[in-house]
Amino acid sequence: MTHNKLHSVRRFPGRLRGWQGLAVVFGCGLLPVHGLNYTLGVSTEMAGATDVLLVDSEMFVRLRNDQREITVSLGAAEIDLEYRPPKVNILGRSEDLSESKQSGQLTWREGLDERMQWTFSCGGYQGFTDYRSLWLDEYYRQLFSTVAGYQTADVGGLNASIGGKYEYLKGSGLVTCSVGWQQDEVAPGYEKIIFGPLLRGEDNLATWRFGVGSEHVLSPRVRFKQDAAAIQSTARAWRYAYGAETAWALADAWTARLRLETAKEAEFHAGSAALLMERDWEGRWFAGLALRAYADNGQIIDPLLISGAAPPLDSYLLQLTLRYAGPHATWRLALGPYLTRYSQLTPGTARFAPLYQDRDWFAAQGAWAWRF
Amino acid sequence: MSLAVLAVASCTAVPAFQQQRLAKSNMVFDDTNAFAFSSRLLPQSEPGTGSTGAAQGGGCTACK
Repeated sequence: MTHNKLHSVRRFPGRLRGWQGLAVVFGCGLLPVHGLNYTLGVSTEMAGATDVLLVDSEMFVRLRNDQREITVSLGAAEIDLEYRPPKVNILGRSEDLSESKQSGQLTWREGLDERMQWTFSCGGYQGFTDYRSLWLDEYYRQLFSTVAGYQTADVGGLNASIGGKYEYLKGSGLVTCSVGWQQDEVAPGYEKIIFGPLLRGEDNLATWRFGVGSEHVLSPRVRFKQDAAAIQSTARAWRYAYGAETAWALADAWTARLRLETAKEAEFHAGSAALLMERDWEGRWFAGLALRAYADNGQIIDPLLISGAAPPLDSYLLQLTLRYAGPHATWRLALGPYLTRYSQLTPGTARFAPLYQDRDWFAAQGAWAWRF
Repeated sequence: MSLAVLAVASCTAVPAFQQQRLAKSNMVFDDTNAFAFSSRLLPQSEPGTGSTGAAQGGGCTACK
């Protein structure tokens, strides 16, 4: 270590106040102060329909210097759901459900100044991850909570991952690979056999994800990124996913971004396409229009079997976006309609009609970050 | 697959003075900034979206 570098490690930056001081204390020993900067960010997202309201918020603190970056994020999400029992469940009752989820994540990136970078991440959450799980949990609770063998769900999970990124062509090309592990405690389904015991579904799911990816500059106007993953979860077939995204500078002030995604798991297929057209002013203000369409063939294999699996779905998103990127602050607002349309339910899934009903959502996103 | 191979093969080293457009904030792929092109809520409705492998709960004993 050179004298200058050693000196810079020992010297704290000029005027540190309040949480900035705390941030430096947090990073002390991990992040030499040379070139150290901090980013504070918050983001929130909401989607509401007539019977569901979803809100997901996150805040993060990021400390970064020339060599490494450490990000700590905390999240809080809320699901408000008007549960209406299926008509076949004559003893069922309507309930207003409200569940919250808390989460935390630590991400460490090492070697920012080198061609080979490493990323380590770990985190966890407590609470329902989606409104479908909450609806099904209430459905089974109302049916079987008085039957021997029923257990109240205690949902949550942990995750950890490691990834590498190699820049094989400076500023123009890189490849990535990653391995991730996730353990989820979920609310299981139940099935009552006549004159038999109550069967409880799998509630502890382990997931492994193996990913590769690359990013390339194809020309002075086009940047391209792709990623592929093989995912294996307990008691499920392998899922294979692929995504490709292109950013294209159409003109000095116009940019188009196109993202295509596909996923396959046994007989299940899904695909989506998203296009964002954006106009910018001086590279500071950006206004855009985003369109996205998604389709899958459903997760039902036997249409006669009673199942909470999702029927085929088409969905459409239209969003207006407004963003600002300044020397210190960046923020984004996006809002617009989101439509979900299910195919006709099968005899086995007809009882889940209140869950798998067509919905007209209103979706909004907001994000803000400040770099010190 | 052919798209992936084509992309790698087509990768070119663009001189710094020609990277002005590529450096704009909406031309950079970065999942962490305000220009991220994703949603945390949409995967709740779409079982084929989100390749993190996160497991959806509330399944069923005879799922599928």
